Amino acid sequence: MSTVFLHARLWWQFVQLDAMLLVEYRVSFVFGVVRQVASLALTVWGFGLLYQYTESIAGWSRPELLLLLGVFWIFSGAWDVLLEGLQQVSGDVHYGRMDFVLLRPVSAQFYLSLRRVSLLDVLNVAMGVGLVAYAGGLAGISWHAGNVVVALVLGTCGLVAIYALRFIVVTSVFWLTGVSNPDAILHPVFQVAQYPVDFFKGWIRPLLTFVIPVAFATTFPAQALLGTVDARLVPAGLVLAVMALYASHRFWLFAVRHYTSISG
Amino acid sequence: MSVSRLAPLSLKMALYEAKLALLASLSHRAKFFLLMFTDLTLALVSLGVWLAVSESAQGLPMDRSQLVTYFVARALVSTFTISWLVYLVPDNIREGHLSGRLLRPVTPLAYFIGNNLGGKVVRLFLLVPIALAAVLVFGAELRLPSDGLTWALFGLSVVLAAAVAFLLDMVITSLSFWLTDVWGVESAYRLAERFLNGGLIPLALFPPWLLGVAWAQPFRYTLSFPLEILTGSLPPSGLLPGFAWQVGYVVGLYVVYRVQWRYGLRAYSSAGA
Repeated sequence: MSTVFLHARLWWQFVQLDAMLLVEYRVSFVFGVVRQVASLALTVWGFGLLYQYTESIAGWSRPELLLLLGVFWIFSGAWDVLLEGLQQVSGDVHYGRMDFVLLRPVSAQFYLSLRRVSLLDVLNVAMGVGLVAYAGGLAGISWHAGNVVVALVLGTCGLVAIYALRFIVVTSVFWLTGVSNPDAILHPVFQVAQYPVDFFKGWIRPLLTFVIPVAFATTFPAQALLGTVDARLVPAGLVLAVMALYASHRFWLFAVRHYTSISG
Repeated sequence: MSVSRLAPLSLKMALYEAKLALLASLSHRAKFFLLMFTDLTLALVSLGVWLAVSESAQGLPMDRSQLVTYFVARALVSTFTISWLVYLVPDNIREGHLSGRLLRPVTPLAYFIGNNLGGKVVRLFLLVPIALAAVLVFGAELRLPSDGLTWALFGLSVVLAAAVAFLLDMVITSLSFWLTDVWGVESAYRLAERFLNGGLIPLALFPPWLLGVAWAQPFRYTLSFPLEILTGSLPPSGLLPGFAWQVGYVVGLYVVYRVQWRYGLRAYSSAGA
């Protein structure tokens, strides 16, 4: 238990560090805010264009799609707040800093993943919540605490599972030293997550549900809020998330065992 | 030095720089393949979404095969038109590498053009397997032009699109003469580009009241215009005005670039002594 507290206290230090940086670079902060608001406004406008010619796409109405977009912004915002540290991993391996990471008395996977907290992106989460509230109103949702909890659980499962996938890709840097940031391959995931998996046909839907669990990240939580989700997805999501996390950890340990440090 | 003596030398330097960029990019094959794969996947996501729309939509200005052709070609055309000057120009200006280049009897533009073209050679080679895969997967649904003239016009518009994209990027990044950090402007530029160049939302699908602006704005001529010619969603009457705008942008942006560098170099040398 004390290791859990140790890691939690360490993470709180990371939060405070980023808060200090934010206050220091205020213009950067303001510009970041303006850019994010503009980006959301343009995306909402783009979604409006989708509905020029029809009221419903694959069973999703415009307010329902906006609700999903709001869920996406919450997911993507949380992702950016927590996982910025992963962008540096390939540099750490390249420049020999990985040795120092591995020497620390905390979990290396924890440290590498969560060492950078990007507080600015909390704004994205807030905007996402706002959009969910607005779109939910348009769609005529009745807000049940149960639905919200289920949505949060499903979304968290999706976040954890996709994180595990990203961490596995990042770990491959130990072998693919020529490629900086191999997790760029996951960028399309964030494009796809803005839309319900129902938009896509055939084998793509199971791919996006079980292999790259985008569906758990955005579609299922949105459906939970709309009250249309299949309840069996909750245990399925939990199992998926736990298995994925375990797999990422095992693969990491495997990679570290085969890592010859810079002085080796 | 007169222009007529300058030109062949600049061409030689451009080719030399292209060779350097090509050799450098050979060691980044995996990275480029990753980038192009990502680009293609993004295009396919947009395709998936618009196909879903076309299933339930009434009166969509583009039919299914046009959409498939558009988005498959989009990934391929954008390889020809990309520009990455934000990683070159601001550093050259801020860190003074530009001084060395300016001493030579060659226009600095030759370096950047050479770098741009050289960096694309490897990507174009990597394009071949991706293009083949796309044709295999989408073959039946693709609708490509049958006459040579359309293909020739398409080819011309791609070359001009690369020039517009390059010059637009040059104009934006040349603001580094006056701004210490150009990333903010660059970020806004790329955001506008995403929504206005037709890569995400084909311009033909814009609301009618925006179409006039959409047809005239520069981002159309960096990607959308060639794709419109290819998919046949541009009526023949739109060809001449379209090319006029495209050439106009090349000329206009070049003029802006010259003005920027004339005044920018003054600011540059006053700080660098």
